Parts: sequence; structure tokens; C-alpha cells
Amino acid sequence: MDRRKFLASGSAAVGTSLIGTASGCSRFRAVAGNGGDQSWPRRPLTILVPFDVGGSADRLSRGFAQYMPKYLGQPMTVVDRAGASGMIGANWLLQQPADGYTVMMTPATPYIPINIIITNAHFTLDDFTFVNAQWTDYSALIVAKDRPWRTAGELIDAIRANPGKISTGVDFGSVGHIETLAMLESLNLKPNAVRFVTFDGSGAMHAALAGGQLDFYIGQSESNLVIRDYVRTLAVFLDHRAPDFPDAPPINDVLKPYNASVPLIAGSVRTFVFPSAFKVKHPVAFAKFVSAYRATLDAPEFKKFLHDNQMAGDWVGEERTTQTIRDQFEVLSKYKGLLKKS
Amino acid sequence: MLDLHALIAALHLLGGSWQPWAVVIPGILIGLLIHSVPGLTTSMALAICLPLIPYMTFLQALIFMTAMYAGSVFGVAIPAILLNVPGSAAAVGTTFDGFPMARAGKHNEALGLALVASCFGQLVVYLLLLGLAGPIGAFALKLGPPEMLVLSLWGVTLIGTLSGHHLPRGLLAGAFGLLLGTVGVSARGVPRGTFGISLLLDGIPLVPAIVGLFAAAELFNLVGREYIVDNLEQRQVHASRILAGMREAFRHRTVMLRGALLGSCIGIIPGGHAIANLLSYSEARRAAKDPEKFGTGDPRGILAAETANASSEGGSMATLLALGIPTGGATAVMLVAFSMQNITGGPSFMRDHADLVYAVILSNLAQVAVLALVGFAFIFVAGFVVKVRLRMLVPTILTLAVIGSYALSHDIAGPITLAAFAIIGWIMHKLDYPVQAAVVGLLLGRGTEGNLLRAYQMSGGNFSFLLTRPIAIVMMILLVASITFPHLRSMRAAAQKGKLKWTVENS
Amino acid sequence: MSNPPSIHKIADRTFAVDTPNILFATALAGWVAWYCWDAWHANAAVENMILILPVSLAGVALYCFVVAGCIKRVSQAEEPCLPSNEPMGRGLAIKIIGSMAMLAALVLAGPLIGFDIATFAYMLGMMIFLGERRILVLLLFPLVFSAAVIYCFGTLLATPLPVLLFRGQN
Repeated sequence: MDRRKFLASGSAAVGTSLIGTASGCSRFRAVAGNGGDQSWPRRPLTILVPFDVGGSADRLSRGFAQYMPKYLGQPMTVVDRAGASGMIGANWLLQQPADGYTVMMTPATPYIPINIIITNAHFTLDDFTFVNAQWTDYSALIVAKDRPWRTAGELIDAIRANPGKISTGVDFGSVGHIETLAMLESLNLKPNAVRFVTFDGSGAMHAALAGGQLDFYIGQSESNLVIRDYVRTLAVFLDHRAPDFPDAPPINDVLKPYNASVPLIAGSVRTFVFPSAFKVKHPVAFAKFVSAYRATLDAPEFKKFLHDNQMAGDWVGEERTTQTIRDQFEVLSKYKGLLKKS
Repeated sequence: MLDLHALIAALHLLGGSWQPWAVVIPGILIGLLIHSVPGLTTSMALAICLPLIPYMTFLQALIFMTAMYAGSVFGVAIPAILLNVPGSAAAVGTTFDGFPMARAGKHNEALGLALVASCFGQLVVYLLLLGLAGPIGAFALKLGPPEMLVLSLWGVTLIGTLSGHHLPRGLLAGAFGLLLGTVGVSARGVPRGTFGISLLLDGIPLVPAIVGLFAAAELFNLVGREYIVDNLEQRQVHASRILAGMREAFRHRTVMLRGALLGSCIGIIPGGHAIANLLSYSEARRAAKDPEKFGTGDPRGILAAETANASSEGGSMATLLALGIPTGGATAVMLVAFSMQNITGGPSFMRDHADLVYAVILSNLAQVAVLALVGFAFIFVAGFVVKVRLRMLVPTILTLAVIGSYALSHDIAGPITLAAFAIIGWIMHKLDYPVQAAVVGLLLGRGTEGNLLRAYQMSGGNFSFLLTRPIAIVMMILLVASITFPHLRSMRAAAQKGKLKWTVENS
Repeated sequence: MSNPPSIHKIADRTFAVDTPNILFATALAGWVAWYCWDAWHANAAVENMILILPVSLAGVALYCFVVAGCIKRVSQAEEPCLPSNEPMGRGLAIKIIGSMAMLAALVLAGPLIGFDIATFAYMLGMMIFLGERRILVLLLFPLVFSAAVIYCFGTLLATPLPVLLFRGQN
């Protein structure tokens, strides 16, 4: 009795599957459209964000989803696909058909180089087209407000005087982490001169900083905005003073008296990213995307969105963007050893 | 403490127009609906709702999202009780006594209990926030990895309590769960236990694993039966029985109050919301004179878990509302709502928008009543689940769980985890290994390791560091006290019995 | 799965051994030991092993206790009293194993033949297997339900489900 039932159900299941497979085989793999570029896009686009909902790339993408469809002619949906510092999302992008209907918005550097250099990703920089470095961040050195150090020099002296006592929060492998290690190395300090406290995800770390649980932090200046009332910015990793922090000198000015200097690694460089096959196979569609994108950047309502959210809408173009990312890749490669030692 | 000026402004905002109220019922309904289906999660609800945010005013957006979270708190309890599958990690504690009650035909009462508990917990925490949002927020910032570590350890002790008769098996299951929770890339970028599979780099997907472990224990066993509840009479949904359950809740006021206060405190700590229900359950069990009743369908188990679940959700809002700083999860998403309205978070948020903050808190207090009504109606709908034949229900639930886990992980890792853990969970259940112990371990693994690591790093290897963390020390003392107290009490009772016997024998 | 414990005689003493339990516990402990080794191999620093090492060691120690509890010395006259579950009937065992197999098949076949086909097949199969006989219900319910689920997830939530016939995402 049971055996009959099992056979019946089993054959029903298998039968259906076979029929389905047979009829669908030819249609299963999406065929890359070659004609019809003129009518691109014919259906909604997906903006892939390889990080968690609520992060800066996610919020920027939602802004685009709000304002760009007007210029593109099709709606856009944001999909978050976080994991492995953006590698899961990048892999996923490359697995989709290169027909332009999936575009990634991400801080392409440092994360894609970090995926390649540290996490042994299977892709290379050449697999991607980097459209435009729209919003670039820089690192800043901040301390909790209740700490006594008023200048970066005082902090450095304190570290030298009390090795192993002062704490900093790091997101392992991030630009801020590398800058911290580079700074210590150039000051001839061992990595364990400072207590590294590793966080995964910056939410808890910023809360810890705000609460004075950590002494200092080198990281993206924008993500520090949320806790700006609880911290002091002591230096910026730029070659000039930043208008947002007029009292914070450039880091290499601070380090000069110590005969030290650090490379200025660009922070998050947020850009739209396509698989490079898209531009190669569908140049017309690609150009249409770029023009809709530029129109959005120029739109007054989008400019207001960017301004109120303290995001940038720069236009530097694909060539300069790609060059920046390649330069960063070189710098990060050099510091790979430092990370492994720490 | 109470900013009267802002409070009055808030009352104006809420009383002056219907607009803020229009989103309350839809929010609660969406929260209820999505979370009562196992395998669907908050992130899916948000994925549907976030595009709507730009069309709302900022106050509406905040109220909508908090209404959704309020609905979710009760929503996750429904499948936990009816199917032994928690709607999310936060409902695990509710299954311990909820499902046994459903099996005994008391699903109406159980759902009524859970509803009252959810409302009560929410009421308590938002009353606290109304008066103390500022101080609570400031206090929250003082909590760091050492305090979170004590919280995790507290959760780990629950594994021992859940182990039942076979302590070594329970502890082994718990250890297994803890280690599983740490699989993936460590905070230092080193992959552990991933077999080189990139899908495992972020660890084992928690919700599919938990649904799999729980679903297995019951759904596979249920295939031998016709209905969840065998007795036709008991399979009905009775308003009177739901109300009876609701009334029963008020007979255990101490349990509810303790759960609500505990949950509020735990919710403030980052990462606390997910495990508040477990800790509250554990404490209620320890404080009870008859702890062996817990786990067999004792109303106090449901009440303890659900009040803490509800109040911790509000607690996790504290830092956001008071200081505009998100501590992760739900609060990070609310920051998206901020950004869509072109507002950045930060302490200036409370200063500049104090009236909005109060309006949100007040509307949440009002939502308690709405939740009671909408939830009651929803129980009727959900309760019909027990009337459905299992041969249709089981494949339906499992299909939803599979597709839902695919949606969660965006790849096949979710469904594979679900299926694998379903099988593991069934074997464990058959061999008398407490699945719950493994689940608690799984939930706590990542957090415990992370906080242990950070506490170690902050201390630089010195134990004297602990002396600088008075809050952590106090928490440890409370933890030790709560573990030893039941033993002391039973020892005292035994001694008293012995004394009595001696007196009788010698008189 | 619930065979009565096997009785073994070793050198004049009789032992009741709960074999399935020992096997499972060994599997658990085996994984624990492997995981500990894998983590150590990847990075033997304190930061990596701070939780894994102590818990793994505890796990292996607990394993010894569990195994010890599975081997009970019994006198000739005593009844072995180990597993608390009654042995399952063959019918039920087949139902459970069949359900598990079908779940595994759904998960593995989904990406290959598309989740729309797979869920339809799974629901149909499970319902027949569990005893549903009404033809109308058998054909309509799986069809409607799987279509609804695929629509909700694929279109509303933009989940990248591999599907065959459905005109949805990608």
C-alpha cells in the first residue's frame, strides 16, 4: 500500500519535471539580445548593492531609484546582496547576463581591489566597467570627545609613551585599517603599539566610539557624520584641508615632524559598475544609460537629495575613474603584506 | 526629562490630522502578515515597503515602520505556537511552551496569551522611553563589548537549562550550535569551516537553519497524522477561548512585568533584541517554584518570552530615537527612511525634531490598542491553519520556507541549509538531543565570539581591565546570582524539610 | 532509527549499547574536531581561536560523557532501558524518509529545472504521498499555490529565482 503510494507520487513528480524540462530547455538560458539596443531598456533595471540596507551605497541607490527612472524610461529596483565585503554581490553581478538590466552601485575601491587582493576573488579589474567616481570619501582621524588629545601630534606622542594601551577600532582590511597600519609603520611603531579592536560592520563601532569605548579611529569621514557630536576630527587624509573640518590638518603635515608620511588612499569611491561585457556587446545601450545618469545628476531635485543627504554628485568620467581604481589597486597591493602580518 | 514643549507639539501633530494615523493599521497588518509566514522576514517586508516611503511624510514613515515592527513582534509568535516554527529568531522562546499548548488543543488560549504579552511589553517599553529616552540613550552608549559579552554568556547558560534530562547531550548540542554560529569569515578576514564555498563566507544563514531545525522536529513527525490537533472539537477557533487566554495573562502579572522590564533593558544593548526572549524565558523559569512545568505548555513561558520580545524591540529603538544613532538591524533601516526624507541621523536629530520623536513614541503607545484589536482579528484568520489537513499544510509550509530562504540568501545556500538542518534536526529529535539547545547556540555563536574577541582586544590581555567596566561586573553578579538562587532555594527547602522531620522525630 | 539497544557480551559482562546515539554523537564530535582543526590551520592566533578552541575542547569532552552514558552495564535479568522513543512503525518511517527525500529533491532540482516546475512537482508529490486522493485538489492546489508563490517572490520581491516557464525577472 505504501509502496504504491510512493511510486504514484514519485512518477507524478518525475513526469512533471521531465515535461517541464523538455519544453523549457530551449528557453532556459536567457539569450543575450543583440538587436534591439535602440529600444533599451525594455524592462525595469535592478540596482545591485553589495552591502546591507541602510548603508551609504544603499541610500544613494534608493535615491537613484527615485529620480532616475524619469530619464531612463523604466523603473529601477534596489536589491541588497551583502556578503564578504562586496564580493558576493560582485560575483552575482558577473553571473547575470551582460544585458544592462543589472547594474551595481558600490564603493568600487577599496572593496573590489580588496576582494581581489585579500579575499582571493575569481574576478579581475578588467571584468568591470566603472562608469563614474561620483562620490569619493576620504579618511579622517577622530578621537572620542572626552579624551584629552587636542591635536594629532598629542595622540601620536601618547601612543609612543604608552605602547599597547591606546585602542582603536578597525574594520579589518578597510582603507582605514590600512592607513592606521601605514601610519604606525612610518612612525617606526610596531602594530601592537596600539590595541586593535576588530568590528564587523561599522554600526556597532560607531556606537562604541560615540560612547568613548575606543580611543581613536581612522576611517571614512562621512560615516563619522552620524556621531559627529561625540568625536573630534584631528586630521584628514588629504593633501589639503577639508572644508568640512577646517581645524584638522592634512595627515602628512602632522607626520612631517616625525619624519613620517603615509600614502593617501582614496576612501570609498562610489560608482555605477557594469560587467565589461555589457559595454562591449551593447555600446548603444551603455551610452543610453550614461546619458540618463548624467541627466539625473544635473536634475535639480536630485541635486537637492544629494545635498540634503550630504552625498556628492561629481562627474569625472569613466577614464579617470578607472585610472583612480587602478592606482588604488597598486597601493593596496603594496600593503597586503602589512595586513597579513597584523 | 520630559520635554513638555515638544510633547505638546507632538500631541498637536498627532491630534491635528488623520495623516499620521492612516499608516498605523496597514503597518501593523503588513508586519503581522509577513512575519506569520515562516520563511518570510523583515527584510522582505521592508523591500516591499521602502519604495513607498518617499510618498509619505517623515512622521508617517517613522510611524509606519514602527507599526510594522509592532505587528512583527506578535506575528512571529503565530507560527511559533501553531507550527513550532518561529517566524524569526526572536520567537524561538515562544515555541517552548506555545507549541505544546497548541498540540493540546489550546491554541486559542496560547495565541491570546501571546497577544496580551506583545501589547503589554510594547506598552511598558514605550512608557519608559517617553520619560527616559534621553538618559536611556546616553546610558546605551556606555555599553560596549564587555557588557554584550556578559549578555551572550547569559544566553549560553540557557543551553544548560534547556538540556532536559540528558545534560551531556544538551551541552554537546549547544556546543555544536555555538561553533556552527561562528562558521564563516572571522573578523580578521580568515575563512573557517567554509570548504572554500563562497556562499558560506558570511556564515550559515541563520533563519533557514533555525526554521529547518524546528520544522524538522515537528513537520516530519506530523506527516503521520491528519491534523495538528487531533480532536475535531478542539480544532475550532473560538473567540471566547482566545479571550480566556487573554484574561489568563493578567493572572501572571509578575511574570509579564519582569519580562517587559528585562526585555527593555536587554533591547537597549546592541544585539540584545534577538535573544531577549530567551533570556526572559530562562529567568522566568529560574524564578519559578515549579520550573519543570516550563516547556510543557505553561502560560508563563509564553508570557515571559513574548513580553521580552516586544519590549526589546522598543528598547532597540532607544538609541535611534534619543540620539539618532542606529545600532544595527531595524534601526539601520530606519536611517534609510531618514535619508529618503533628506534627514541625517545624529544627536542633533533629537534636538531638532524632539516633537517628531515624541509623536512616534505616543503613537506607539496608541498602537498597543490597535494591535490588540487587529491582532485579535488576525488570530481568527491564522487559527484556521489548524483546520487544514496536514497533507496540504506540510508541503505548503515547507515550500514557503524553501522559497523564502532562497529569497533571503539570494542563492541556493538558503534552501540547502534549510533542507540539511531539517534532516539534522529530525535526527536530533529522534535521538533525544535537545534541538532548542543547538538553536540557542547557533543564535549566540557569532555574537559571543565577536564580543569575547573585542573584550579581549580592548583589555590588551589584562584582567584589570574588568575593573574599569562596572556595568559588566554588576551584570556578572546578577547572572551568577540568578543561576545559584534556585539551587539555594531548593537546598533551603530540603533543609527545612529535614529540620521538620528531625523536630517531629524528636518531639 | 530506534532499534532496541544492542546487547554485547564482553568478558563475562553484558552491555546495552545505544548504537544510533553513539554514531550521531560521533558525527557531531567529528565535525567539531574537524572545524577546530580547520580554524587552527587557517590562523592559529588567539583572535581566531578565542571561542572555537575552548568550545571544541568542551565538545570533545562532552562527547566522552555522552558515549559513556550510551553504554550501560546490565545484569542478565534486567531489561535494557535506553532510548525513550518507541520504535516506529514501518509505514511512518517510510513516510518520513520519503518526505525528507522529496525536500532534498526540491532543493537540488530547483536550480536545475526551475523552481516553478520543482515546487509544483514537490507539492503534487507530497500531497499524493501523504494520502490526498481528490483529483481536482491534486491538480489545482499545487498549480495555484506554486504560481502564487513564484509570482510573489519573483516579481514582487525581485528574488532571482531560477524559473523555467514564468515570465518574471531575468
